[in-house]
Amino acid sequence: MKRIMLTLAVVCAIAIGVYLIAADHLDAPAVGSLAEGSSLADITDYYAFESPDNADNYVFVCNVSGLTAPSATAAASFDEEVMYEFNIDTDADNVEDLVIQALFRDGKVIAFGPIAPSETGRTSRIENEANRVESEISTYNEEIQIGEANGMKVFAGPRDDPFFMDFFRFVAIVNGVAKGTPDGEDPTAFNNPGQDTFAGTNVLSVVVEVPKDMLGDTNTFTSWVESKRKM
Amino acid sequence: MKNLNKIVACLWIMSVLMTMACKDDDDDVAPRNEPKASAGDSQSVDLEKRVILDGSASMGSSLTYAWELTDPNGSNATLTGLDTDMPSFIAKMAGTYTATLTVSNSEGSNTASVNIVVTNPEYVLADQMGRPAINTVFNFFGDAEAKNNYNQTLPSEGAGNAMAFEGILDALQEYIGLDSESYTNVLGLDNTTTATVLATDVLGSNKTAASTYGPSDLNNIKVGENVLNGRGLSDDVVDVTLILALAGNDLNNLNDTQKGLISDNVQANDKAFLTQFPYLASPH
Repeated sequence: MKRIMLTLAVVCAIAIGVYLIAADHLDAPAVGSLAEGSSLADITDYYAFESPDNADNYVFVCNVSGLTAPSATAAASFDEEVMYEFNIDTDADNVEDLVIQALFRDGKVIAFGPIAPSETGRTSRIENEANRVESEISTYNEEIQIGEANGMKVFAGPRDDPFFMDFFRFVAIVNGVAKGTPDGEDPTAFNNPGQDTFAGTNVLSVVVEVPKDMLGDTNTFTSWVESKRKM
Repeated sequence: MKNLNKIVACLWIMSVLMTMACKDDDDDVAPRNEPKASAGDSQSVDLEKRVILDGSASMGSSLTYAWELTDPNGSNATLTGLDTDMPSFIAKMAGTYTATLTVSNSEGSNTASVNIVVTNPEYVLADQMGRPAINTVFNFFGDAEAKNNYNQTLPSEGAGNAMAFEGILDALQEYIGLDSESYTNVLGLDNTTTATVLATDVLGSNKTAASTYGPSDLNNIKVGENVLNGRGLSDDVVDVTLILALAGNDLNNLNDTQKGLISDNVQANDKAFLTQFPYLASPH
C-alpha cells in the first residue's frame, strides 16, 4: 500500500509545476495563478495569535492578493462581493461555532462577530446582528486607519507580506522528488543563506483583534479562514 | 347676413381661444410655486450598503425637505441629512424600507414615497486555509481541479485527503533514503497519524499559553502549548513543517541530507513587525 501511494504521490508531484506557491499563495487556479496573479479570493496566509500588545486579546489575520508588487499596490483594493470569514470551532467537531466576518462597503471595512452563525459550511449570509467594528480602508502610503468598538479592532489595507520562505529552492527540491531517486541534477539541500521569495512584496490584509473571552468558554479552539464570494 | 354670422362666430371662437390661452398663462404662475414632491427612483441594494435618496427632482421654489424612513419592521429609521434633498442611511436590515418625502413652501406641501429593497446576499466558499502551506506542500495529488476542490473542502470533510498527504510524506522521506514505514517525527507521530491530523485543515489555539507554531523549546515539546498553538507572524512555519516531515524523532542524530533539508535558511521576514495593532509591517 505504501508503494502504491508513493507512486501515486510521485506521479502527482510531477503535475505540481508552477502552481506551487507557499504558504498558500496562488494555490489553485480558480483563485490565482502565476500567470494571472492572485485574486481577492486567494488567501495567501492565515495567522491567529495572542495579541503581542494585550495577552487578553487574540488576533486574526487574513492575507490575500499575494506577490503584489509595490508599483501595483496603490491600485489594489478590496471587493464588495468578497467576504472574509474567520471560523472558530470551540467543541472540536470541525464545524464553526463562531464566526467573525469582514466585508467591504463604500470604502469601509466592517467586521461582525464573534457570533454563532445562522448557517454553517459553504454558504454564509451577513451576520450584522453581531458586534460591529468598522474602519475606513487604509490606502497605500496614507496614514493607517484603525477602527475600534466593543473591545475589538479592525484594519484592512495593503501591508508587507509577512510570509518568508525560499520558495523557489523548495520547488527545485520537490521537482527532484517528483522524478524519483536523486540523480545529482536536482538539489537535495536548501541554500544557506536562503533567498526570501516574498521579500519586497505586498498583500492586502484584514486584521481583527478581539478579547479572548469572546471566543467561547473553552481554553482551546481551532480556527480557519474562508473567502466567500457573493452569488 | 350669413357672412356676418360667420364673422361673429369666428371672432367669438378667436376670443375664446385667446381667453383660454391667457387663462393658461395666468394659471401657470401659481402651480409653478406649488410644491411637487419626487422621492427618486426605487433602489435595490445589499445589506450594509449606504443608500442615498434623491429628492432633487421635486418641483417648486423655496422648498423645504422633510424625509421619513420606515424600516422593514415598520419602525422609524435614522436618516442622515433628513432635511436636505439627498439624505442617506445605511441599509442594516433586509427587506423593504419606505422613504417618504414631504416638500413644502409658502404655497403648501406635497408628499411622495419610494421603496428601497435590501438583500442579505448569499456568499459561497471560494478559498479556505487553516494551517500554513497545506495546499502547496502536501496537496501534490493533482491537477488544477484537485487543487480547486481542495480549496472548497470544509475542515469537517478533510479526512478524505489523508491518504494522499501520507503519500507525499512517504515520497519526501524515501527520496532522501529514510524508511517511511518506520518514520516518526519529533512529536512522536508516524506518517499515517501526521497525515490524518494535517488533512483536517484547522489551526489549533490554546488561550492559556502564549501562541507559537513552535516549537519554542525543542527539548521540551508540548503539543498545543509550545508547538502548534496558533500561528504568529514571526513563526518559521516552513522550518517547522520541514522538521516534522524530514527530521525524524531525534534532532541530535540527523544525517547530512536531513541537515540540508530541515531549514530553508530564511529565518525572518524582510521587514520588522509592529508591536501594536495591526502588527504587520507597512507595505513596500
